[in-house]
Amino acid sequence: MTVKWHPEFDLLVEYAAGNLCTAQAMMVATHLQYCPHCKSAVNKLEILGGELMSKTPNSSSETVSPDVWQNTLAAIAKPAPKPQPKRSLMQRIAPNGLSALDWKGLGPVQTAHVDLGDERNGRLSLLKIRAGARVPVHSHHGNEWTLVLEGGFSDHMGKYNAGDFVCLDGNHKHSPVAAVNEDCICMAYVDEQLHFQGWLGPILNRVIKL
Amino acid sequence: MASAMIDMQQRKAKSRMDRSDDEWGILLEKIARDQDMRAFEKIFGHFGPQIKSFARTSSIGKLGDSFPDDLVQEVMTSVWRKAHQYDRSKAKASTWIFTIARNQRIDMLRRTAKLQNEVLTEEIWDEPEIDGPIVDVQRRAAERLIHSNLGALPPEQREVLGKVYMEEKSHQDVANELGIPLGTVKSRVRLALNKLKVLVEPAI
Repeated sequence: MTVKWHPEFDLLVEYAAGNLCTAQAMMVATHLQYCPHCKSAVNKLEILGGELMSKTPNSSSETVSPDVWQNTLAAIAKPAPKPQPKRSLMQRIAPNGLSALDWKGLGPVQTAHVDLGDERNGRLSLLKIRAGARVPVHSHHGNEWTLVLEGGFSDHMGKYNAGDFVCLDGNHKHSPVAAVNEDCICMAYVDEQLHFQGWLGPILNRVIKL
Repeated sequence: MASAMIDMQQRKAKSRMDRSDDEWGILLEKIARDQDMRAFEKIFGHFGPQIKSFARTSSIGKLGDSFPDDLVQEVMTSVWRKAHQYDRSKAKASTWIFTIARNQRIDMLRRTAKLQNEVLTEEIWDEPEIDGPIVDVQRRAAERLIHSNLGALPPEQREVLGKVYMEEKSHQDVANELGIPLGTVKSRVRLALNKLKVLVEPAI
């Protein structure tokens, strides 16, 4: 299935430039695993990074002292530290599998916080919506990014399947509904908590936290 | 006749570029194959000042005078140690070294912010290549195009790209700093990326 919803190009640019916090970058990097189109754009943005680095205004007049060269020679003469084993992004998010995460919430809608040690700008969570269930209407004061990992959901703007990346800002209100045939699991990033509407709002705000 | 001349000049320019482009990649291969110290010195002499400038323009420059030099040393040490992973058929030397410098800059900033990282930078920023999207020919075409068109961008488009990449600013930060709307910053970046053929609308 092809991915239909993509991060905006400015997000890809900031990702390629290395400016996103861990939680944000994790969202983009995971989307790239589903999306050859954005992956290819990021490759080109990295080519651009190399070109820009070679043409920074003062790089022609910049000098590196011979000490740095000497220190580098000393560093490479030492044995390299053992590289830390590389893991897949999903292994980092849920080392013991999705079901072992600390799921919280209300029957059909559950969330699990994913703490990657860098929450300078916002929080990363996983969101599980039972097949056919609806997330109550909520709005956002900040930004909410959602990436579908499994299953799918829809709202008034469209249908989203695995790999789709949806960005909502404070002007949006929505009430996503999971597809009927399977549970929907998403990765979500918020820079401010959601605000549920209606008489249940105050309770939901306490129970469902991303 | 005239157009044939131009065509030939362009082709010559192109092959000159291919050679100079290969030059650094070939040196990296020599480092990997023979631990060639002369090749390493050349790479250091060429990319060292670029990395220092890259570090100095970013927030690393504000940490203190020694930090940009530290980044040069760290990146160059990695270049030496990882040279065997470099594949000239997959990336230009400048792209490869940029990604190492970018990742080490992220690591250095995280260390100074004392963040407990639960994930390695290179896991997030060095995802394994998905086969297919950029075949070699397309990638080389992209490299040539970006290289030759970057200089021709209007200064205001070049400026915003520089601020995002070199000064690690978000589009919003750039808008605040220049006192222009966010939409203007985004449209400058979009125009620049269109000219560099980085942006291609996804086929739906």
